[in-house]
Amino acid sequence: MDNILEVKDLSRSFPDFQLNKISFSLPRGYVMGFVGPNGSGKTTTIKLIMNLTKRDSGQISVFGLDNRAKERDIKQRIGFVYDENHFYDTLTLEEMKRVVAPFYHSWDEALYRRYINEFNLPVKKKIQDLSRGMKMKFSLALALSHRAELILMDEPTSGLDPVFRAELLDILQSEMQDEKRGILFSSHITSDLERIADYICFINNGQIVLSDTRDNVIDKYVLVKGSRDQLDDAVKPLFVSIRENDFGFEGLSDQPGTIRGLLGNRALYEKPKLDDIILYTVRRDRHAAVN
Amino acid sequence: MRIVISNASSDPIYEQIRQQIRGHILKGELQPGDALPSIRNLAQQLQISVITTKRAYDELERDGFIETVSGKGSFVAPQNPDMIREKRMNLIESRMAEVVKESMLLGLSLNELQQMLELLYREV
Amino acid sequence: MPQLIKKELILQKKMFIFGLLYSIFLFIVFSSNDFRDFAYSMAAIGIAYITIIGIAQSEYKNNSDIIINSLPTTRREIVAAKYLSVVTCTVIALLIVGAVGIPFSLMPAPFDYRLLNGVDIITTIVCVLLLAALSLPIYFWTGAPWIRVVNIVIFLLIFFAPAQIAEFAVNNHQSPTIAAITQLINYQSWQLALGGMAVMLVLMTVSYYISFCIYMKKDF
Repeated sequence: MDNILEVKDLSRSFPDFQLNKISFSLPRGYVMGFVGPNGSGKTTTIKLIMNLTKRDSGQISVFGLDNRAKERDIKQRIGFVYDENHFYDTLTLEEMKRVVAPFYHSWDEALYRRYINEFNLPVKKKIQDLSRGMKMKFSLALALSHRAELILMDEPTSGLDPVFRAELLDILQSEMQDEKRGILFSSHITSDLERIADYICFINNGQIVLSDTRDNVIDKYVLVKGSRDQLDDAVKPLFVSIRENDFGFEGLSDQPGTIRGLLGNRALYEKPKLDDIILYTVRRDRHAAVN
Repeated sequence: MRIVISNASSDPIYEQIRQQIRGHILKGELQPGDALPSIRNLAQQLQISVITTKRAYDELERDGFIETVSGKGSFVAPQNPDMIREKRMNLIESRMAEVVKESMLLGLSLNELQQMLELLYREV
Repeated sequence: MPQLIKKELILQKKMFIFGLLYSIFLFIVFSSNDFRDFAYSMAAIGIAYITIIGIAQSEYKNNSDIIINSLPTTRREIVAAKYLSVVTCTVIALLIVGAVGIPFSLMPAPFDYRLLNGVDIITTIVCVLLLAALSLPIYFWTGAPWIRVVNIVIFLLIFFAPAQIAEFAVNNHQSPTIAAITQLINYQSWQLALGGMAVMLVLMTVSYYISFCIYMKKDF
């Protein structure tokens, strides 16, 4: 399959954190949710893709091209939205647009105006006077106005109200009507964009836990609820992690078949949400780190 | 065409879409040759992932309900004898269900109903 | 590259009004001063340097390198554009002081300044380039906080050193070295200035190379 983004064995170590041989790929035409808790390596990975940070080893190819050798060509075709504001905050939106627009061959001024109107952005205002949501909308308008093929977004929904989060979904999906495009967004709030993500790449502690289609990820796990006396030594190892309380337990298992066989209809089985999968996996890793 | 996605349902989303489109075709609400929304358009409308929609369409295509012409989109397939048969069977089933309900209201036993059916079957 | 220069100009634009007021202020202050001859270059150097530092600080504050480096350009061009922007900044500063000087030249004493001349221009260019050559590698290395310290030191030097040196020269005018230097200044200012320019170009090249090496290795 034609991958719009391919990351292979990417490593980078910092004094307090290590990105450890991560690999994943995003086929052209699809949306990938890059999820994991804060500090798991999402932003570092995005910065490595943009060549803002130096890698120790590994390969990154965007549109099938090496991201360092063809840096400039690749960046012509990438739209980016970052978590924090890095625009010159003393400039007005109009001035900032005049800084950014000339860099892109395929800048579409009419399209930009359309987004500005659609998002109700005050072009004469200084960036420092905008709310967080407004800054994010402005960033999105800039990212979409040069007809980028790959859109990279680092935590685009954090700090946004639910109304705009819903709008964002719609904007992104209308961008995806063009099947030559791809979107990678990172998020620690999964419920938001979970629905529209075709692929989920789950990172924790600088390592990829899993990277697959969303349906496969969800199907791989089962959420089990039952009473504590069912948790014997044969059953316990089948769980990613378990949360016990006085009245029973709730646990996530990545072996749905086996666990159903063992517990039968004495337990309750539910389809987990992405949040559950992240929560239980992070809990397991923290637990492992303590022991 | 009406498609309703329920998050509370235990069926996966692609299965819900598959069953509902299949239902529309079997009931004749969608005629052979009718265009279906594109995969990406349906995904946007329902705010679900493209892959989920694609899976539903793939399974419908596998079962012969729809056809996909590359570059043009997906269409309801010309109905083959098997499908027509399935459609008519569905019709009979639903009518029989009505008869059964009616019989239950009257307190007819299964045996009595079967005898009635046998008699009618021979006469017609 | 032209886009990066345009970015610098858009950012510099904010400083021009300040530059106008600053030069008027300096012209008034220097009017009854022994150093009125230096008013043009002092004002121009001040405007250019404050602009360069002002932009550096605003870039540092917003960590704007992240945006600029995400745009389709290269680190090499980003560094080169920064150095070229020093030149555009100097030219603009000279235009401002030159323009402010014209109405002053028509005023009665003590505000009757002469017009901007070649020595002013060359002195300004040499000084701004020297300041930039020293401070830009520090900016690329550590960002604005350290440049602020360097900035203060250099500024103290600019404002007090000339007076001190001049005083020293006046007090020791019999010293042969000083005599030679004053002669140089008095009689060969063009040659001196051109020599200075040549030295500055070499310095800028070395400075650019150092900045480039630092910037290439940077993580944002």
